[in-house]
Amino acid sequence: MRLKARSSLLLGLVFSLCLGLRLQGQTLAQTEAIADKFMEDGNFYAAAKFYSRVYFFSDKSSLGRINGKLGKAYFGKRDFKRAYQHFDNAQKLEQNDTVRAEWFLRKTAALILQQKFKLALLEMLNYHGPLTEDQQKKYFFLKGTIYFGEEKFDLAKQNFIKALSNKDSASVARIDSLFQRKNILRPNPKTAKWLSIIMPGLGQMYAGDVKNGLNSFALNISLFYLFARDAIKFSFFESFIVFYPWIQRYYQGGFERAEKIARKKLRQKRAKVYREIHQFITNKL
Amino acid sequence: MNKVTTSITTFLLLITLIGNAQQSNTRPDYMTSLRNVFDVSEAHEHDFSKPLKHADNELKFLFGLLYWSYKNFISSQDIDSCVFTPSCSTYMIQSIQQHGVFIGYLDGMDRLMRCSPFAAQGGYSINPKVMKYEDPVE
Repeated sequence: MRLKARSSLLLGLVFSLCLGLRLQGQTLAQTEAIADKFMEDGNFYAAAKFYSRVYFFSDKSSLGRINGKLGKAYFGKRDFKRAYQHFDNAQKLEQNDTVRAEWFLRKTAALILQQKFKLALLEMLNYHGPLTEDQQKKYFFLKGTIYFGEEKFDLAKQNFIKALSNKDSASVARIDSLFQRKNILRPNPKTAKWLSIIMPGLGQMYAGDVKNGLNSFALNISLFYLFARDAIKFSFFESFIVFYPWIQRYYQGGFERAEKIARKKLRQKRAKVYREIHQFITNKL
Repeated sequence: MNKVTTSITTFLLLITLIGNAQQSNTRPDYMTSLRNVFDVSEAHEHDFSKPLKHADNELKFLFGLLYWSYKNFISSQDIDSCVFTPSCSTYMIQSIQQHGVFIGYLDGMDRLMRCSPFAAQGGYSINPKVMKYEDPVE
């Protein structure tokens, strides 16, 4: 009973305080300012939440700006799919050419980060708006990245060179050296596969995995030896029936693995080359 | 009253901590984000020596050693032919660890006999990640 009376008293106090104070809701500008502060601090989750609130209530004139900000917040969250949608909206709604170009570049970057290179290239080729000098460099860099992802290395190199701020011979030579065949085309997965078909284990060794190559070689040679021994001792047919399933499994497994190892190695090398190009160009952007 | 104050303070502290934990120090510079776009994600490597380390008797150690050798030198060269997840060898070693050597071995042999292209008739659900029939040790 005492507890009930105390609760009623507390409720009454809160209620009277509410009546006494002049309650005011948060304005859109205040909410946007809070979201901006979250963005500044790198708290993209909170920023996206607050921008979404602003987006929901804002009028048509500020939709372009809010879409761009929302895109940035989602980009920070690494939700590139949503970031792309908001940058796309922002690009369509924005009136200012420079800002619109910026949203377009960010939109393309969001597509690249989703590994949607063909769609990104389509966006690039369809864009005919004006670009500032700085944006033009970014444009060529993004285009180079897309061609790199599409494994069109000559086009990628051309675009990376266009993205260079200083196109002196040393910088061009640096890009050229990074695009050497041994950096971006070796080890060739098909070659690794065929090498392992010719000689089990050879493809793995070519791809750089010597231990796996020796393992495959030893296993296949042992099986071939057992097959030959039984074929001589008993009959070819009997030996074939016994050993064919094993030989088929490990022989096929060997050359499939060689291709996989080479493919992984190649991707790692390309990633390293790209990181170096990225560092070389973006430092000068 | 003190309890209420403490609870409110703890709640506020927690909220602040969660807010800070969500904060990231990296700024959303889209050009910088592209740096690792072609990086190869390292697939989770299985530790085949686990059963060796966790063996509590000699027989389990022996089976663990057999499993380790098989996984590293034989299975690593094989085509991907097992229709189940976990694979038959992993299933057997897990079963041995769980049920002991005798029952685990029999259970593993039973799994080996079930592992065939006709396994679909067993009514197993498919693991969408690896596109194989789900059949864990029970």
